[in-house]
This record gives sequence, structure tokens and C-alpha cells, in this order.
Amino acid sequence: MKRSHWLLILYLLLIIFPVLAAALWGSRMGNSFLWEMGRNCALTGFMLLALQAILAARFQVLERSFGFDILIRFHKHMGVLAVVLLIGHPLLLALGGGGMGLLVNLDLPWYVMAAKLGLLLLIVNVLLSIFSERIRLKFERWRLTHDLLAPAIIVLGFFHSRRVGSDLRIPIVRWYWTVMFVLVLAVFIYHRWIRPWQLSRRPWKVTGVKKEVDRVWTVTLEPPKGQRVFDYLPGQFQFITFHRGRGLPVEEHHWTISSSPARRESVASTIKELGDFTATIGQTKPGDTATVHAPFGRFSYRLRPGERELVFVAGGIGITPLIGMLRHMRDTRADLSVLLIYANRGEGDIAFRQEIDRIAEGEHPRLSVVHLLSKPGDGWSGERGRLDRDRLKRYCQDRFQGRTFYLCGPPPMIDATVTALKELGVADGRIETELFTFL
Amino acid sequence: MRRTKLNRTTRLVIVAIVVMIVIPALLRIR
Repeated sequence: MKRSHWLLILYLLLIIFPVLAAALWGSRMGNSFLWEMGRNCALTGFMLLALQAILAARFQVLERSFGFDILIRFHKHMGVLAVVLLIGHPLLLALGGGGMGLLVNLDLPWYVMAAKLGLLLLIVNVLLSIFSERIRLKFERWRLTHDLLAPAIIVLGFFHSRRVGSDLRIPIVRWYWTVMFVLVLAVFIYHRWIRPWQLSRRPWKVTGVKKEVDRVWTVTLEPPKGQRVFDYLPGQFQFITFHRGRGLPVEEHHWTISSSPARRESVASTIKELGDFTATIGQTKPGDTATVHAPFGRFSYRLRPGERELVFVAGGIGITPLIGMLRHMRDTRADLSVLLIYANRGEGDIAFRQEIDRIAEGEHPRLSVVHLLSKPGDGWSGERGRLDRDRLKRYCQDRFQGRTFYLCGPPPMIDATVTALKELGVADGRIETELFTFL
Repeated sequence: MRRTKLNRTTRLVIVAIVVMIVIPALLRIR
């Protein structure tokens, strides 16, 4: 069995342990089924919440097995599941014999009111996470709220359960509960405070800021003296916090590494001006410092060494992991065939155009390129329109078997391309995508 | 594809958790 399977089993065991232990060693007091369900919802829901801190803490062992984007999606799904269970907890207790007063009365003991507050904060936290984009909540603001609410919810839930949870009178459950509580708080403090502090003590230096095309910049970073660039796979990404002074914002963001790992003196990310923070990226100057946490991601041709024929589909700035892979193939003289389908709005938006042409002139990799423009100018003689099933068929010359597809770009484009590829008979296992947004 | 695997995993975890909530509750009311 793969390590990811073992980790998933461990995850389930950690979550269900309190319920199992309570069922085995707890008292049978003749409660109703709904009451017992309500209690189990709390035991499971709280464990799910506690483990959230570990899922999101960027641990390499988890990241290597699943990929960071997948972990964060899973974290989100589990957050929703925890809310459902923890809303079910008071409802089922009330229906199972506790009475409606449990839900509506406000003159309840502090440990019940603490749980109500915790549940309210949890609902707010999950709603903000799901709808952050729709209500245009800025990433940094959302993250600060998330970082304040999450530990508060855990603390409120912990004290509520220690005071009122009858199953926590079973010694093994009580111990387990306390150990998990201390552990997740420690993980949270490490992830949000200790590790950033450690990283900030060894800052990287900006050595280059280059404009690629309109609103797209490549920032090159050099490791601290005496330190080499970390080992990474082409296509992986890094978390960067720029410290630029001059009143420019200090925020941590993640960007794909667009440089080739075959060149070890520096590392580069190509960044598009998309939001409030990235709008300032062109104001970064050589000599500025940055904190770097890397590498992350499972989107790399190096993870599938047996593949010989690859199709890259890039939408706009989604070219970054793919150019990293093409550069690596060039530098290592890889014996591979690659078809690059590169979609952009206009001709002026095609980043790395000359470099891609030069790679296509060589033999390593054997690269052919299709530029597809949705809004080309009058002088454009190449492909025009949006990538669809018919175009895919034509560009791939109706040959889909034995090829592996790497897609990176805006989510609607990726979703449409995945659907089209499946209709054309490409197996799930041969489609790799990078989930572009994490929230 | 990893996204499909994620959805499958999420479903598996949800089913496992629901089972582990219902069965112990049934055991305890016996």
C-alpha cells in the first residue's frame, strides 16, 4: 500500500478513536438513539476540527503524499463536514431528550454558551472561506480572520467538552482529547509563528525583476550566503513574502517556480498582476529581500518518469509550471515529445514566446507549439478561438492514446478541457491538472 | 486525475465517519 493510503487510514483512526473508545468503555445509561448520535457527532466533529490544523500546516510528509492544493481542498471539505456534525450535535441532543430549551435559552451555564459561541464562530469561519471570493474579501484579511477564529473555536470547544462531555470522564478518552488539543495548538503556533520566524532569519535576495509581457513579471531570487537553492521539481511552487520597504505590502503568496531546477544558482517565479498585492510586483527591486518556503506541488512531468509523449495545455499565466518543465527538459536534454497548446487573449499576452520558439528549434525536447488566441489582432494568421473538443482533436491529430496531458490555466478553461479530453477517451490517470486557486 | 481522487477520498471519509457515528450509537442503546 502507498504511504498516502496509510496516512488516510491514520487520519480516520485519529478521528473515530473517541467514538470507538466511548462505545467500548462508556456507560450505557439508556439514552435515546438520537441523544447518542448527537454525542457522537460532537466527538467526531471536534476531532475533525482539531486535525484541520495539521492538514493546513504545510508538512512535507503530507504534501509529498497528496500535494498541497489537494490537502487544502480536503481541508475545506472537512471543515464543511465538521460544521454539519457540530450543528447536528445540539439539534440531536435537543430532539433526543434534551428539549428545545437547549437550543433557544440564553440563561444556560457558561460552558454551554461557550459552545454556542464556538459554533457561531465556526459557521462564520466556514462561510467566509467558501464565499471569500464572492464577497471580495481580500486574501490577507481572510487569512487573518481564519487565523484568529480557528484557534478560538478549538479552545471554546475544548473547554466545553471537558466540562460537560460525559464520555470525557473515561480516562483514555480524556487523555486523548487533551493530548490532541495541546498538539494542534502547538502545530498552529509552529506553522503561523515559529516557522515564519525561522525562515525570516535567513532571507533570500531579489537579483532580478524582468517584465515578460504586459502585467507579467519574472522575479529572480538568490539564496542566503552559504545556502544552495533547495531541490525542487520543475512545475512546483513556492511561498514568498517580499520585504521591500517603501510602504509596499508584506504578504505571503504562492507562485509557481518558472526557472529550471537544473540551474542551481537562483530560483525565479513569473507573476501576473491580478490582485491588489500582485499589482505592486513590478515595484520590486534587486536588493530587496524575501522569505521563501518551498518547494510544494505535485504537478511535474518528473513524477511520471515512464511517459514519453506529453501534451501541455496552458491558459495565459498558466504557462509558468509548463515553461519550468520545458526549460528543465532543455537543460537535461530530455528525450521527450511535447505538444504545447498555448491559449492567450492577444498576441501581446504570449509570455516566453521567443524562448519557446528557441526550445522548439532544438531536439530536446521535440517540441511543437500551437498558439491559440481568443482576441487576435488583424495581422494574426495562426489559430483563433477558444480551446474546445474539435480543436483538441485537430491539434493532437486525433491521437490521444499513450499521451499524458498537463493542464494549467483559469479553472473554467481547465474544467472544459478535462471534460473534452474525457469525451475523447483519455483516461483520468493521464490528465494532470494544477488547481489554480486554493480558496 | 488527482481531483477525481480527492472527490473519491472525501466521499470515502464521509461514509466512514457516518458509519462510525451510527453504529456505536446503536451499540450503546442496546
